[in-house]
Amino acid sequence: MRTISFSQATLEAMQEEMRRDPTVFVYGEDIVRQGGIFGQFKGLPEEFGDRIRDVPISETAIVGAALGAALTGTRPVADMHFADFIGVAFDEIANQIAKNRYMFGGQANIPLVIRAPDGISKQAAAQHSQSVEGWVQNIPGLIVVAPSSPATAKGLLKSAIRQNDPVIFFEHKVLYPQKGPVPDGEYFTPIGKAEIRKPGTDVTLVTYSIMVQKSEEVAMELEKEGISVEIIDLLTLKPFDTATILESVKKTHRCVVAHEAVVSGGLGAEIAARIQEKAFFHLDAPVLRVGAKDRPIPFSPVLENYIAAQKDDIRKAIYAVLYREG
Amino acid sequence: MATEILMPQLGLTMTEGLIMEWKKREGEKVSRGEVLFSVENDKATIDVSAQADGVLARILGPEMVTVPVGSAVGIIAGENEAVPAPAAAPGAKKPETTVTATTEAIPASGQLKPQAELKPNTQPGPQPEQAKPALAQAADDTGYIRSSPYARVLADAEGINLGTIRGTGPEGAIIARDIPLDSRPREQMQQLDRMPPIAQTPIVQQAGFVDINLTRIQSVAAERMAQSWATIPQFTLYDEADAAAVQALAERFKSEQKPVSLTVILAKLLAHTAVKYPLINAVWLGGGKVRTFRDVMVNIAMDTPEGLVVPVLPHCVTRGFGELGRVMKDLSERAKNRSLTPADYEGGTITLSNLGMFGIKRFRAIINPPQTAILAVGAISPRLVPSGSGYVSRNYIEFSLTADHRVVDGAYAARALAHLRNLIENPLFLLD
Repeated sequence: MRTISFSQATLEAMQEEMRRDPTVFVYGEDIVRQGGIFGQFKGLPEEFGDRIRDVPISETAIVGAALGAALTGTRPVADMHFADFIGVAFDEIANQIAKNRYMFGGQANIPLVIRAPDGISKQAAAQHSQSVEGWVQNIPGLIVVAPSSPATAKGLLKSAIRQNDPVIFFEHKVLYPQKGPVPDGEYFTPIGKAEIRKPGTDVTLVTYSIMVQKSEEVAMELEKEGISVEIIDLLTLKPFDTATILESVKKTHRCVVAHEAVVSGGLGAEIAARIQEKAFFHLDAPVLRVGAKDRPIPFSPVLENYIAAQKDDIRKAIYAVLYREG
Repeated sequence: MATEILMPQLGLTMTEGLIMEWKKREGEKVSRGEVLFSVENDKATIDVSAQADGVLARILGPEMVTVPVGSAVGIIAGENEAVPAPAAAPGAKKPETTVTATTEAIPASGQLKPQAELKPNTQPGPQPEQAKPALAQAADDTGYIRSSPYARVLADAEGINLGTIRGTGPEGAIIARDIPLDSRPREQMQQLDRMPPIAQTPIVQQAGFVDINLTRIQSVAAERMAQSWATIPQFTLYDEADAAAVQALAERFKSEQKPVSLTVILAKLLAHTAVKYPLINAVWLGGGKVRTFRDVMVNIAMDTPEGLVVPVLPHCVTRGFGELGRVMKDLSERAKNRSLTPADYEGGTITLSNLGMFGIKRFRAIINPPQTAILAVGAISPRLVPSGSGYVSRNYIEFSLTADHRVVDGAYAARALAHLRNLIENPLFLLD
């Protein structure tokens, strides 16, 4: 076990996969000259030459070209710079990469990864702070993942590159410099499987990405008050691991879903819906969602804090489903 | 003077009763000893009689509702006596409201004015805060009870009427923590979850179906059988015996018009075997302890129109065949017209199940917990047995003993069974 940063972990995943498979290559903006704005591609151009390519600022072109390349049998990794810009390539994502396998009768694989740095960081304001997994949740044919730590970042990115269907890889900007333990040697984090970060008996807290560590901090504090929180780190957001969630809810009878994205139409809505469909008679309280208020992320740090979901919001939701004063 | 009608404890293990039917309506005159309502506990349906003369002023426990032992299910009052309303929840209005007991004879004219001027503390009946069951504050004006889905499931599993529970959730909603539980239901729920769903086959493809609600007695029996099967390491030994002697004995009693059936004879023979082999006449106490009994009380499995009942044929060793036959006849008649009482089920130490009358040759029975053994008896049928240089036809009876291996080992059970075989073939050894 080593301790490395999240961006270093993604870099290792890229190196290992690019060394192993010469068809893996990268399209992105400013990744050769700059090494990616978060340093997540640093060193790759030196080792892999023109397999790391800067392209003009056109997400449409990046994803469209990556799709064509994937159809010819290569494994492109397309970098979105900021997840907020994924909308520029929305037709490619929603109507092309997600549907090609289906529309052509399964004749071709689409082994394409879209890396999309997301989340609130350093007052980047409304167009550079979003968590947009809700945008793509509604598109059959896509796989969507969101690591929460260096270890899961490396394991999920390697799984994503080996995947024969398109994967959107949401990586939270705040996580890049954070360090954590990463296993030695090669390993994979399976797609479609959630991990229980902390077992508990009183309430199930379903979360992912940056909110996992916030949830862990809240759970540690609540433990002192005798509240036992089970934390489920989804890792794969689409298709998410319904079985693990249901198993936990049937044990705790209470559930809170926490994400940084806005509440309306977010992943929490889908999770809450599935729980009431499949485990209604196990519920002792409504499933509560914690997320950003339905507003653009403000530039003002005070307002940013106000709009974004905080640890205290998670705590209040847990008190609420336990019918406790807090 | 108003008297509360309490849910009686009908049997040692009874903790609650299901009110099946009120035989009297609110406002009807009742006299002491008259049947008020019928209640089903886990063993039988029993009529409960009035303990006082008066008017059935109020029914607090509606039909098909389960009520804990000792809770008030109704109030008997004197004619025209005011009866305090049951306690209302804090925050509910007018806790001092009274109702007036009336007889049906009183015309619905202006005479029925509420006697609200009577102060509650002058009432001879129960004080409002003592009246049970308390109205749940969870109920709204329409009677709808606010409760979480899980609380409902728990209450249902416990047989608890949500109307008797005080909710502590938002706006008085009943939530899981409000349901008084032993440790059972949670585990049961979890077990249920682990079980594969029974209704996986798409029911829309079936021509039709009927959902059947088991009676409380059947539900309890179902739970006990499942408990036995899941928790008792039970094994079965099969044996057979020449039935000529017991058949002759039964014929002899018949010719003397004594109701001594083959089942009665076998029960007595089993009882004498159990005296000799006390580990099959025992109950498992858990924690490495077994309690053996000096007396043998044989539960007899009986088929009735309502299904299986298993009353006790008491004192099978000390009583003679004739007396046991009379007791048995009484039990089976009362089983048929559903008038067995909880006392008829108390105290069994071993069980006998005879399916011979249906022509079943042999079967194994499931132990009736916490007992340690059960005898299963099959039909008598002829067979050829070697005799000299040829064969003769003899009537044989097959039977099996299922025993709890925590208490009884195979050799012990085999010796007990051999003893029983010997008694069946030579009943005179009872005198030995």
